[in-house]
Amino acid sequence: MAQKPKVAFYWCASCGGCEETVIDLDEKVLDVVAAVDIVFWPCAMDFKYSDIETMADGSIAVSFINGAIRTSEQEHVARLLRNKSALVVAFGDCAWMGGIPALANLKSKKGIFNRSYLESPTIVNPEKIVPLEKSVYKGTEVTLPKFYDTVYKLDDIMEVDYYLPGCPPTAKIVANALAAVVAGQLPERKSVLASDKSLCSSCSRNETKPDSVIIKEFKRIHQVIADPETCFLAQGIVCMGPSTRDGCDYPCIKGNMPCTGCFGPVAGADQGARMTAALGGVIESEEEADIERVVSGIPDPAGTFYRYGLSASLLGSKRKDKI
Amino acid sequence: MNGKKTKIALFLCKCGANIADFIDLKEIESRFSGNDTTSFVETQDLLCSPAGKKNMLETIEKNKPDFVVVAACSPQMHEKTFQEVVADAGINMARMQMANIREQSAWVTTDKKKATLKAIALINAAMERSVLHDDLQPKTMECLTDLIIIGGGMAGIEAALLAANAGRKVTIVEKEISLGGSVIKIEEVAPNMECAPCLLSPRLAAVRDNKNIRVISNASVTDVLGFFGNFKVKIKRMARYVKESCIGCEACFEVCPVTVDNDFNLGLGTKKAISTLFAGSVPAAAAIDKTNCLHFTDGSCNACAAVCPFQSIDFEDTGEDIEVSAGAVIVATGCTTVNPSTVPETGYGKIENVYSMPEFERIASSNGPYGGEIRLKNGEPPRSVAVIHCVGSLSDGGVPYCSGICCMTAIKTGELLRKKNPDVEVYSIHDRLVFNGPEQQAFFEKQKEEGTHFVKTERLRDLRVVQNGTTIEISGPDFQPIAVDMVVLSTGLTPQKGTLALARMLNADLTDAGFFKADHPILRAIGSSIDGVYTAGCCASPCDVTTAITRAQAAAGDAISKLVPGRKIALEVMTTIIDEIKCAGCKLCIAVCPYKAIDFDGQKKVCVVNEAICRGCGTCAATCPGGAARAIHFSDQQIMAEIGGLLHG
Repeated sequence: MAQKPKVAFYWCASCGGCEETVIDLDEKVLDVVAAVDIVFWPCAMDFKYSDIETMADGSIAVSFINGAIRTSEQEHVARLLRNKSALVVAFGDCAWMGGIPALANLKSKKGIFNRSYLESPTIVNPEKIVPLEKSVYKGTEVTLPKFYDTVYKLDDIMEVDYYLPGCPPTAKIVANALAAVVAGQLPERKSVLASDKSLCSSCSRNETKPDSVIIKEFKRIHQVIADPETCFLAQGIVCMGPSTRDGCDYPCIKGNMPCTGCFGPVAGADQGARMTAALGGVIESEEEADIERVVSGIPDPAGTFYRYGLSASLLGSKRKDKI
Repeated sequence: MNGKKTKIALFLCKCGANIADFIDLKEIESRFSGNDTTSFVETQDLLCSPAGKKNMLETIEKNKPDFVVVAACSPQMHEKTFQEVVADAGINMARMQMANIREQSAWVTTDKKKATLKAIALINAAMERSVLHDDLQPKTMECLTDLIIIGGGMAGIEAALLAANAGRKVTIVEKEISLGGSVIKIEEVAPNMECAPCLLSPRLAAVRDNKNIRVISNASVTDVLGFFGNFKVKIKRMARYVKESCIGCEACFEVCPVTVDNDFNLGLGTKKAISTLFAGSVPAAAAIDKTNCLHFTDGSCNACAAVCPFQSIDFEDTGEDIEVSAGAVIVATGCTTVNPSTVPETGYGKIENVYSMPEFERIASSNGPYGGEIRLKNGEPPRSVAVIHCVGSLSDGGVPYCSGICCMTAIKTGELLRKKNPDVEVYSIHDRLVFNGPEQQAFFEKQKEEGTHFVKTERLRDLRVVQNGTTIEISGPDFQPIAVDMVVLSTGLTPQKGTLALARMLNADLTDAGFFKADHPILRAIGSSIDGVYTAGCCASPCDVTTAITRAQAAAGDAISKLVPGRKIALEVMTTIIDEIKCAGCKLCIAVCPYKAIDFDGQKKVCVVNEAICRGCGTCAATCPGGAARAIHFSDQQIMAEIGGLLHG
């Protein structure tokens, strides 16, 4: 019997949703198990880093790494998997472009520690203890991984071969990607494994969008009862669909929620800049005060337009250390 | 480049002393001479001079650079000049990039060191960008020579006749059911007291008989696309329920059981629910007032269709959408008057026998509601009439300007009244009087002689008009009260309704007062801010009939002198293209395109640029949220390279 391709799954700075997607494959996960040999999946099974360390370089067919790189441990394991793998796939937005954790790049590490461990109203910490890389506990030195000042996307620290978009990627595109790996029918290296068009191309509501969208006021989804058929932008609700890659089968929109952009930008585009420019053009304004009034309807522009991709954005971060 | 090193030629222009005295060109030469990619640097005294261009041409032919950067004046001055030189030397014109070191460096500071540093940055930016330039081929099309005229009043008619008589096809779009505009509603034009319908009738007949003129009446323009030499105008013709075969015989008027207010007479008098605009109108066809016609309200009547000798009644008419192409658009939409109800002190709308000037014009007209007999509401002829000048003019509530022609119209009332009854007392209550030229002044003197009482007040705003028994009393703080039977309010002139919407369709600018803004107030008063969009008549500012016609003739003449059959117009080559593989059809580009050059392809579900209309402004490329629209010659890479060059220069 020919040897089955070895596959590894790993998670870095992430929420676990990407792992959940693998489970969401339902019975198809059995096909995956049948087709491949899972050699590393710490979230689901008991593996040790040493299991990987002892493997020959390049012996893993593909490693799916989700999560952004925030700590030295994550960087270490990611690099380890890079060495042992023929292909590395950035699995989900955090690995691809920073994801939700990358919003932390709007703050400094110090600011985050102060807030989380000292200032937050729910914290009781009279001794002002903050996590340290090295500390002594009952006479023993204990260590923690280094917490970086910046949230990095995976390809900031190493070569990445393919990207799977989504927060999390849908079971369908994960299954497609796995099938492509098993069949050896992968597209051009460095591709994002989804459509090249934006979401509007498949959205059922695009037909209701007028030729001339004009926004007089931005409404947030909790402020209105959105019409379940009409294009969100035509209703003045920010929908990231126009600047977001297609391929998710728009479950949010089917649930009457606007796209928040989790499939990231289309090739070569900066998602937030593109969407900001697009909306800027369709705001109806006679004078400057109108613009300010309309724009004030988006209280968190960075979180709205770069919710999933600050590490990959033109906006960059508050401060970036060299690793 | 097949491994061959890219070479850029840099030409520096001294622009006489304009650049040489403010920028250290030697420094620039040495800065760029040692550069890897610069094949050579050449400094000229005046690059745009015949000698300079010849030298540039020879230098390029000899050295065969891949790209050319010219550091000189603004590209607005000489981009075309140097593009031609480069093209003559066998290099695609798009491979030439200018760095404006005159307006942007030499002329903005006396600090030579800083000016030199900035010039270096600008040249570096031009170089970084130029190597990314793709070749572009010039595109031309033969200009369209036909005209579209919006508005079929006196000005529109005269513009149409001039162009049509020169052999051009002309389309007139008129909002009323027939031509004539506001002049047809006037009895006599001051100061010569020419009969206006008599002036117009032969011109209307000439339009009717001219094979080159197409009149689309009861219609409005819904969209304008394109540019000088290549316009497309979308027109909506409203249903009139009467076919063109109608000759206006009026047989149906007698049998129509419904009487409605006569809007041609500004609501004075009545007409039938089927009516023509006026007897002898062009087009001659009548139209049905759908809201009042019994056929449409309760289906009970078919009388007009039964009597029509030409079977012209068409209750099924739904109107139509028409698209017309033309080389130029002439706007002749006229102007309107201030509604005197906005000045409540005049008693307008409350006191009987207080009329606006346009209403008085209709009352005095032989084709008006009362056959030209001027009567009070009780049927008696007025014994005394007061005309109040400047109603709604030069005031906060109305228009802040003098319309310039209303004094002449206002004092005409005396002439018209005395023709009917020489004993009538006429008062002109005025502040400033504005007359233009010897004829108008003489007309004013004549009115004084013939008995009009000119009552000067400096407090027009404090006038009170009140009913006092059977008479109307006009009082003011600086004159004795005047009692009259009838009051005529001479109102200021304002832009025609719908001017703003039309201007937006045309992308044309308006003045603060809301009239079409001239291309140049002195040199090109008949041009709007958009090339190929002309103004005729008083849509550009209030004017008398003579001026309106002169403007119309000038506009039509200018247009046909430029739109010569066979003449090529250059099309924009730096347009935008939309990559249909990337385009998701989100349509946001359509919303922002100021030229309406983008359409949605319903089959492919993508947005498509109409290259014949696109002017390459790049708005869609900036807007496209999917990065599918790309501005040729202004790609993200080219712009980023330029910025990079500027910052690292």
